[in-house]
Amino acid sequence: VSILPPGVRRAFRLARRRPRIEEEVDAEIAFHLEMRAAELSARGLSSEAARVEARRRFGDVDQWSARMSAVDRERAAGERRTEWLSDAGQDLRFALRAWRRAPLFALLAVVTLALGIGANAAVFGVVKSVLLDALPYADADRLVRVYARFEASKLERSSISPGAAADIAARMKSFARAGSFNFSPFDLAYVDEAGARVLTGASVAGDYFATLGVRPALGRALGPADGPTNHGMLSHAAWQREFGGDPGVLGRTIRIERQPIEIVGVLPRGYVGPMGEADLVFQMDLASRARARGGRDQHYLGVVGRLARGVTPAAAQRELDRLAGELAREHPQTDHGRTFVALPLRDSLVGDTRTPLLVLMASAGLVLLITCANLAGALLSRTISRRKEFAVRVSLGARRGRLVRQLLTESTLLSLAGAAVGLGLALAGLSVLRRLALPELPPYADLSLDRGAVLVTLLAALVTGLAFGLAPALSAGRSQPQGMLRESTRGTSEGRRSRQLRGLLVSAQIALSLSLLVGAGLLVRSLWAMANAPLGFEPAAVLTARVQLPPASYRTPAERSVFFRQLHERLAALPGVRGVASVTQIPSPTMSSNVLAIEGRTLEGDGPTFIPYMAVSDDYFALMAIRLRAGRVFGPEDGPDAPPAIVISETMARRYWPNGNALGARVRISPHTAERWGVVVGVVNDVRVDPALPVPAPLAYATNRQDDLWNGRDFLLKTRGDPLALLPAAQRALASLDPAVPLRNPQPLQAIVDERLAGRRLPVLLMTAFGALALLLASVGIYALFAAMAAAREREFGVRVALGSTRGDIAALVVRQGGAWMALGLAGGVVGITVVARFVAGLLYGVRPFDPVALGIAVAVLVASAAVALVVPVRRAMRADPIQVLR
Amino acid sequence: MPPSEASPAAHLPLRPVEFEILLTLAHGERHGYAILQETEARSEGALHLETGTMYRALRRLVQGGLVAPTERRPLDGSDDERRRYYAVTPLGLRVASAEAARMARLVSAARAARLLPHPAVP
Repeated sequence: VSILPPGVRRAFRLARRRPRIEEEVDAEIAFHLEMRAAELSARGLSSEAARVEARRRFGDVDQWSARMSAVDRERAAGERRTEWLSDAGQDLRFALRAWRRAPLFALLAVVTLALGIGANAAVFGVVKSVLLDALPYADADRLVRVYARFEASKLERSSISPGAAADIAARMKSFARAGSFNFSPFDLAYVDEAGARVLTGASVAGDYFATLGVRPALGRALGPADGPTNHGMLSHAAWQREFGGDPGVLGRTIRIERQPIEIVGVLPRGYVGPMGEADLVFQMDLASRARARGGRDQHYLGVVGRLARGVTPAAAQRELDRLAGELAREHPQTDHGRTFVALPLRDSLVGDTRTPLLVLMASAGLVLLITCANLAGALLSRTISRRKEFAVRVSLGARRGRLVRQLLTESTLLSLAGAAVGLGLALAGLSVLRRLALPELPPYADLSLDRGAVLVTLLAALVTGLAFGLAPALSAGRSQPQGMLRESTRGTSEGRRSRQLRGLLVSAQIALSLSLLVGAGLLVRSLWAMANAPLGFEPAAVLTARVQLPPASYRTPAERSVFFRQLHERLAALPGVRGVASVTQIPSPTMSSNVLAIEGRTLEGDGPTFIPYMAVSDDYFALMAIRLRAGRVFGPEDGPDAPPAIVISETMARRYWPNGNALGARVRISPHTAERWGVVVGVVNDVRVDPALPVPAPLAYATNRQDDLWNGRDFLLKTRGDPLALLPAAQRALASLDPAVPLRNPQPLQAIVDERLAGRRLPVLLMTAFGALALLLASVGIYALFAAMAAAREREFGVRVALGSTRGDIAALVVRQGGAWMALGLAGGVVGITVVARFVAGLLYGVRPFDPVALGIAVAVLVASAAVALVVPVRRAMRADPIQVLR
Repeated sequence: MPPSEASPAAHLPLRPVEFEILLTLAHGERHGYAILQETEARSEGALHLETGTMYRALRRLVQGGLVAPTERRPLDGSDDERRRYYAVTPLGLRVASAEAARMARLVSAARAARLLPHPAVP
């Protein structure tokens, strides 16, 4: 029943269900027929004859009715369209006006949303780049990576020997093609007119490029025929950087490590191999490497295969299992105890980053949920203060639907503005991540936001806007104009339903924040445990750099030894150097391993037992502060003719000589012990090469007086003060011996160690930031809830005080009312924690998923923040002045 | 809101039926039947409007914004509730004038071509 005259309603273009168009048309026709019939009757026709004649003159009534209706419907649709557009325009103008009226609210909302949406966009950018983006290979879903598995050594994903790689390529019917590659890029000295530089190189073998389906940008791709030649391909980046993108580079010969290399092709932009970025790619001669010494027992190749048409990965795995059996029978010495594992190439590239990424994505999602709950609460209270406005609009004829739509427009506009700012934040965040060049991320991940990611973000923003705008909008739509307009101006009390809704929203924020805080706490504790577990060596004030001697100039081990000894002396003589040591490779998670044999023992398990191995100079243990546990370290007595001396780590001693009788044991561990047994002369402290692994790996050392086969060594300089300050002097010392040999990859040992933790640190940092943001939002939510509650009951409090309640009673009243919601939130948080703890369990180190410390701190921080948020509203309630209120 | 064709010229030329309807409505609001009656009466029987065609033309005019249906009713209460009135809009008036002017030009051109006698000058 309308209380307004129709003219007013029409003036506001509101409310009134249109009668159906057909009915109107039929009514018009009926009226026409009636008028005609009446006229005909007046001329003397009988009423029946008049009706018939009227219809006859009109023509086909049904057909005309249909045609008239069609025109009307078209017009109505057009009107609805324009009306919708004009309403939308009106809604937008209203929304902007609402912003202008409350600029601080709008600003805070946009900032909150920008943080929430930005966090999601940035994390999604990473997730998309790593998990969703197409690999830079053709039809990459058909590609698998083959690993060797050595059961006795518990190596699940190991490299493959050239012999086995050649056998896989030749015999696997499940693979349409297969190729191999050296598992990590290496440095190359490149000399041209501009001087000596270091390029990164990678070697590939077999049908590598054809398997990946990589088409060259220029020239041709390397293939098996290039094996015995000195042919190379440039990466697109190196072609641009070193040769200015000159197409004439094809056919040019450049000198790499004093070898002439002919460039036959340039790789396409965006190509990156499974082994990582490399400037120059060579073809290895797989057949000759397979035949050469170590062709079956040195495992250093990665293998990729392209599944043949119609072959499932499972079928390929079964064939690999059969092949492993055949090879073990054919080459029992080298191939026994080794099986193969095929993994989809993407899974192998994504590796261990999947879980942290998903944890981060989920955390960002939680932050967005909290943002929604927070803004929903804030908008609800704004809705309460705007109830008069809505009541006026409703009584002037606004449909509730229009009000709901109006408020949804406002919230959507807020969230879109938030998304725009958030996208900017995400782009900035991603560019920071790109600069960090995290080694944990797969090489193909470009960490960018493409159009799809932007669309997903905008969609998320729209959903967010609807999510946090819906409750306030519906609550505004329910407002009762009559009551509202009659109520006194002081009437700011809130409906029961809306108060409950806000309480629930705050509970949800508390629950979500608590879950996030516990997750972040667990990760922080893990990282702390990782960073503080003793490394077993002292990385501070040590400069490391690699010296790689070109085999063409330094042919014999003796020549290399002389060079290294001279370099050692010159480095030791530099001012500021407290000690010098050299090793075949600095300890790292990817250091190479050798096969262990112990005299008179059959080692447990099937197949070879690999032990990480390095040859070191005498002062290595002293310089690294690796302590001797038993026996002795290396010295001048371990000359080339003395029996090969071996030092082992504590873990290795415990594992293979549990009775403590390692000293004096006779072992084989490296090529120089192949002819004569080596003797264990000492046991040293464990070193943790991978800070993310709780248990140190066994490690065996030889002296480079005896194992002198290696072309390169890492030098370690213990310095006074900043290690990098010594770099120019070290470079001059090297150049004075041979100007063509560059000092490669110089960096402080501390930086290398830190970098290994960096990949672990980032998710922890981000999750902590998310937790802090969640905490802040939840605190604001708690504050707002209590403030509104205290304000709504101010009059009541005044009465209570007048009747003799103490201030304490009032405070207890407020806390009790809000405390219930907080308790509910904490209870919900417990549920969240159990989910979170299970989710992050795989990322924990030295911390149990239900770590009481992390739990306690999270709850304490949350309760403390809530208490701070409570102070102001409770004080306001306590100050309720009966005289002021009751006047 | 009717589609706003700012320029009357966009609606020209009108179909004869449409022009006749506008001419009739220029005298005031009418319902469909009255439009038919008056239009036929004005042409003194020379024009026979087919009913359906007239109603359809009327709708086209409404769609073009030249004519607006109104829900106003005569105040004497004698009217049938279902009756629907039509009124010419300001735009419709301007279009009708423009059409009349166009026809006047045609007529003078016809005179110049001696297809019509000159009107007697009083």
